[in-house]
Amino acid sequence: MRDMRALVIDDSKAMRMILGRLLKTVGFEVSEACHGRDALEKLGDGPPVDLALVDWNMPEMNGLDFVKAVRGSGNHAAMKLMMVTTESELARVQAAIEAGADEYVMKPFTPEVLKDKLVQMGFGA
Amino acid sequence: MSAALLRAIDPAPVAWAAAVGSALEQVASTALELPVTRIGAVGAPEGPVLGAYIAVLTPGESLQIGIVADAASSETLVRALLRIAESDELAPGDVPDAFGEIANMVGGVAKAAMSVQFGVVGLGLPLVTTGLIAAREGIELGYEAVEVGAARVTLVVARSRPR
Repeated sequence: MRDMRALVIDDSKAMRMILGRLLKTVGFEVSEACHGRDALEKLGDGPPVDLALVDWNMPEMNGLDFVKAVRGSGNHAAMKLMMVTTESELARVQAAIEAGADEYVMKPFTPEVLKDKLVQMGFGA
Repeated sequence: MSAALLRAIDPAPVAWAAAVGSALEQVASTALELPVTRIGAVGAPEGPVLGAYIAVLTPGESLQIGIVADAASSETLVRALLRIAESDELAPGDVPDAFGEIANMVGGVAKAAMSVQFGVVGLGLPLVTTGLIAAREGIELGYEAVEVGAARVTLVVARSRPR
């Protein structure tokens, strides 16, 4: 069985570091992208990804547009998408879910909250 | 941050200042896992500071909210966010980037609270810069000092003075 792979998409290096470290503790091999367009390129070039953690507000291509692009493409259908963002309004959550996001975590979060969400999505014990 | 210090005749900047302070408390307790003590209204920081500022737009108001700290305190917050021990080195660029992310989270929490009052609230991306704070003519500035663990930070709310 191959390793689980995750892609962390955030324009903040700090947040990529925090999320990446946490994902590694539950067994993911982690790669990073600094905005949605960068992520699309990395998905196109690289091996299959099981999970993408997606910030909302980023330059070049925001997280919502990334989710729409991925779900609209028909590629990476098995990839789970989790928004990890400061956007907390219900309308934003609904927009992300309607676009195809599987989960939504609001910053700031504790490591336990994120790990619980991963378990709910079928990742980790 | 006091209403008197802000010299505001309408409640919006004061409400934002309160929201930013509460937001920092929430971010500190979750992402930083540090205790917070709100000291109260102060003047402008005297030395050069690292500042992370976010533009706020509501239907009737535009403001800047910010978090500023000296080098030692900003590094303390960043080490807490990144879980990097004092004995380990921070990479170049980590402090401004992570400090901006702290401001981003504070802005997001404050926005959520203030959306109840103002409806649609827009936030810009964090702008991180180092230097002295000096008010231009026509700009109102309010400051609140807050201790976050061993760090001392100042919260800033700025807006154009109503004509």
